Amino acid sequence: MSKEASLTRRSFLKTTAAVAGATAVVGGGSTLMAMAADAPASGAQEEVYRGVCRPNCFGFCHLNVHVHDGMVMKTTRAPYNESCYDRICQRGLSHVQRIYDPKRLQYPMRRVDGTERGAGQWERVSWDEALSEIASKIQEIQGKYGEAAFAFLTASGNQSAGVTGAYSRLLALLNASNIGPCLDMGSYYGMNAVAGTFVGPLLGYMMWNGNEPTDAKNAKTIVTWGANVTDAQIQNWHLVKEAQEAGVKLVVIDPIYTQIASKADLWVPIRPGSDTLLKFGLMQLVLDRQAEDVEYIKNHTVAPFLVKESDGLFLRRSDTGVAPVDTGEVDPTTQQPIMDDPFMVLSGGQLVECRDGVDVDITGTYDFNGVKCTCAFDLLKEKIYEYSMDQISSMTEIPVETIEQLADIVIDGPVYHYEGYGPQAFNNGGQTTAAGLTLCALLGNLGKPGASYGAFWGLGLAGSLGDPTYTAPNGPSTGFTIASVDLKNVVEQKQFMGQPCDIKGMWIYSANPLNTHTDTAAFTEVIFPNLDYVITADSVLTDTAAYSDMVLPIAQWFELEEIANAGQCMSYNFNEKAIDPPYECKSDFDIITELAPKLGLGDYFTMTNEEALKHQFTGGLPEMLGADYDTLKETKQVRFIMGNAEDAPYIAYEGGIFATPTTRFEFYRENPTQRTPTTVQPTPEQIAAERIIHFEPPLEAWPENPLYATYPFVLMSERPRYRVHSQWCTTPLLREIDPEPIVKINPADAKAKGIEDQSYVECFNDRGTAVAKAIYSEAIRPGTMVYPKGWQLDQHKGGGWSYLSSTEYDVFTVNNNFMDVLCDVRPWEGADK
Amino acid sequence: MTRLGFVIESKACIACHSCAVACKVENNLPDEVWWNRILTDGGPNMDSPAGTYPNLKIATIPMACQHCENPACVKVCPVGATYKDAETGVVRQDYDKCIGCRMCVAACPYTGVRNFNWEEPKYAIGQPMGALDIPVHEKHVVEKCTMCWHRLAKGEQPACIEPCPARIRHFGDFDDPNSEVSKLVRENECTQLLEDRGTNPSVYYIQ
Repeated sequence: MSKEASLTRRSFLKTTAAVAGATAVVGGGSTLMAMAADAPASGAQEEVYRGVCRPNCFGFCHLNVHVHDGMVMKTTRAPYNESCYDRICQRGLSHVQRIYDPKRLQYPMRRVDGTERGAGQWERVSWDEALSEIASKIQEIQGKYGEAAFAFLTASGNQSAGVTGAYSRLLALLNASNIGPCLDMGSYYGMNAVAGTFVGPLLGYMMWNGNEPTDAKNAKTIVTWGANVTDAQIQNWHLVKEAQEAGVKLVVIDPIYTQIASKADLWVPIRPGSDTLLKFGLMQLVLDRQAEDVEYIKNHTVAPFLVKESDGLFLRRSDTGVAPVDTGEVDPTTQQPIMDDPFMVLSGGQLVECRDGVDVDITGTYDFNGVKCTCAFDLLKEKIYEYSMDQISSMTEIPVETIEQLADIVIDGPVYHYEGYGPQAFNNGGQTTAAGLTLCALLGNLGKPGASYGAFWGLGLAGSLGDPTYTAPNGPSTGFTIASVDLKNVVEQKQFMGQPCDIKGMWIYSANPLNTHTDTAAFTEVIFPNLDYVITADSVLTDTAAYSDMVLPIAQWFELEEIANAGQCMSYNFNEKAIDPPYECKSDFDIITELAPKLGLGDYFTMTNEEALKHQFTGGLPEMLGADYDTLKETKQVRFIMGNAEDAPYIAYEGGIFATPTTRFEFYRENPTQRTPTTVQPTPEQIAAERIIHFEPPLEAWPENPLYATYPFVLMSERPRYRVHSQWCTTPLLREIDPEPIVKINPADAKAKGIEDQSYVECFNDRGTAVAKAIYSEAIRPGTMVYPKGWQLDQHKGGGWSYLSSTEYDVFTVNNNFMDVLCDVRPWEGADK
Repeated sequence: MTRLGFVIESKACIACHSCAVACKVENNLPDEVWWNRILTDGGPNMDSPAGTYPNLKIATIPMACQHCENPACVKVCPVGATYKDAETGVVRQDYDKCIGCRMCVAACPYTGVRNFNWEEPKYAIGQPMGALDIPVHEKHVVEKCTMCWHRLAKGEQPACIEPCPARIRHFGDFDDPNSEVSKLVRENECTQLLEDRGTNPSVYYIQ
């Protein structure tokens, strides 16, 4: 495939000479225009296709894929329909080296029989052989252990309708189990707990609700919480910068002096894992200064509802003996009749039904037949004042004066709070989002331009709801849905949800769990040893692929047509096929289609990829939403939320309406439930405690933990600038800038440990080790270390970062605790592999 | 006359390297060759600030050939291979004339913007990338930022301008008082690198 560039150096000079001549002839006109008039015609054969970059950095940027003679030459920025979202980055620009990466998988590979998983011994097999073996293994496992013994595991490596649709269809037809990701779910859990999860009128599923980032310019101040925007979501930096240019102040709360911290009007360094406490401190000051928005609290939160001491539930009229009354209306989602059973509240101390126009009390207690009932707002205040300001200052390591200064800022709204995934990467992370939203609810700082708390990510449902039978032709799978952080427990206990459950085979796609999930050893030591057969579909030999039995080389993003249906621009994004897959690579869709007949499912997979996309995006619902296949193909992008980014940015929680059971903001909720079921069930005490927002310390990375004496560093990570998760891990030009694993350490800490700048060190704890090059940086908070994520095991001189983290999880959030990790560090004395 | 150049609002640069990568791909730069680099003004390492936690500061400077109005490299080239294009102000290299003496590398005060191909250039991938109308890289030649001469010839901006995610790179004609870059220079406090050398670079930074 070697091909010479089309111009020799001599002809290049001839071209330039001709240009100079043309300019001279044109004389006084624009030199550049004159050059253009005489431009060489060598670009004529170039074709440009629309690509959608979709590693889920949140961006889903549109790229021009430049093709010459069947080969991608480069990728450049393509125009979005809203030009504020015209974006590309260093990763998006490097696709040509990702597509033609020498380390790209070229053909199906089988682990050599008799060798250990991960030993690196592979044999090339034909597609027919690979797919025949896969079919027989699936049938063998399902025959021996039951249908649910075969599972699929995925994450967000390729968030698109075609790939997810095809795998979902196969999974349902096989009645296989689904291993669900637990990646950055603390924020989702916390938001869902207090504000609910919205599905908008255009069927945008608002998994991370907030005001659109283009609304930040309407705030007085932008406050980022653990959001490394300038590395992890650089596509949004220009919006923050433009807001600053328009006079908006920027406050950055982060333990690390990130690039965005260096651009801030105020950087507030904070102890990792303590953000919730800071929010409680700010709420104290809001109440102390009587700065709360009483009308908002009365009308849009559960503040006036009376919590019964006996069962923790809100007092309703039915408690007084009046049966709920059928309104004659039906709930469109549940199809159940809507019953009228109003909440009982106090008004001037009198117990009344909570109806429009009633001036409710938000403080006070009521003795109802011997049961003490307390306004939910009083319970909230108890929590807000649980720790004194001095305690909060001490635990967050932020001076009281700085907290006071921050209070001035958050009270003087509107404030656009931008939460990143740092604070939620600790075991207590769900609460930090819930507390941040509550701070805003107290101030009425929600539902208005410039007033927001959250981030911004959604999923468009037009395709999947257009024909729900596409992904489940014979009904949903009867297999299990298991949280990935709980999979180790399921494998060890061999039961789940009270039923026998023994996962014996797994197919992993769009995911690299051995690398990007916590606790690599849970996979290598427990989960994989229990599996008779592991298939990984990917484009390079990731850590997960390296430990598999069969590796399938997949087509990259621009090698097939797709509709990417998620992200921060809240749009369906149409990706054209620019080139055929190189080597023997195949799209996931084609792999499944060719496998299906071998499983006796051939009749279900007769459509081409393009036909399947058309099928999903055709018919009443997609057409009504203006998101049908033909429109998408023509316009390349259709929003699944209202408004437009430039003139009418989306505003979350408008009108003070929340997608909660009470339709109010629920800093207190009656029935906390797990985000997803696990082998561990919450105790009644845990449920009682979870009803109201609260602070609890991180599981491990907290000074009161005796383990601190042994392992004095909090091991934090950053979403890397030169990869997205673990994607682009072998892309040559990015590896030139960023050649090997590093760990950033404060020079004072390093010197105390006898560690020199740029020397190799070993970070370690009882669970494992990782070897990396120590990088002195004062940006790093003393007592912490920071590593960029996504380095593969074979790129380390020893160990790997996820060997140090654990699969312990909070029973409600069921989340990967990426940063709730203690470790120590020492100079590395090993030898190269 | 025309004096093409850049204004970079480096105060908002986040060191993402998009400009450097765009340059690398567009010009099919060989392995380990970068015509555009990102410098950290701070601590000892990339992205490490000056000061002591938490009293810190950092500046980030994207740097390539400064296309000086008074280029030190041109004066020392014994064969006239390095020259300033009279029409555009672009400092160019005539690869055919270049004898590989590297006088220009030594004379240029902006260390590292030039690259001398000591060996036959190597490429990580098995095909050329970037523009179709760029010259082949050859051994024993000094190369550097061409201001994307091949793109200028088509009326396009250099490849590093558009992709900047921070939207801080501006390109135009300093001799045109109405150009965006002229306005930026008029309306902001700008610096040029190593102003005391008298090179008068055509790259202005807003820091």
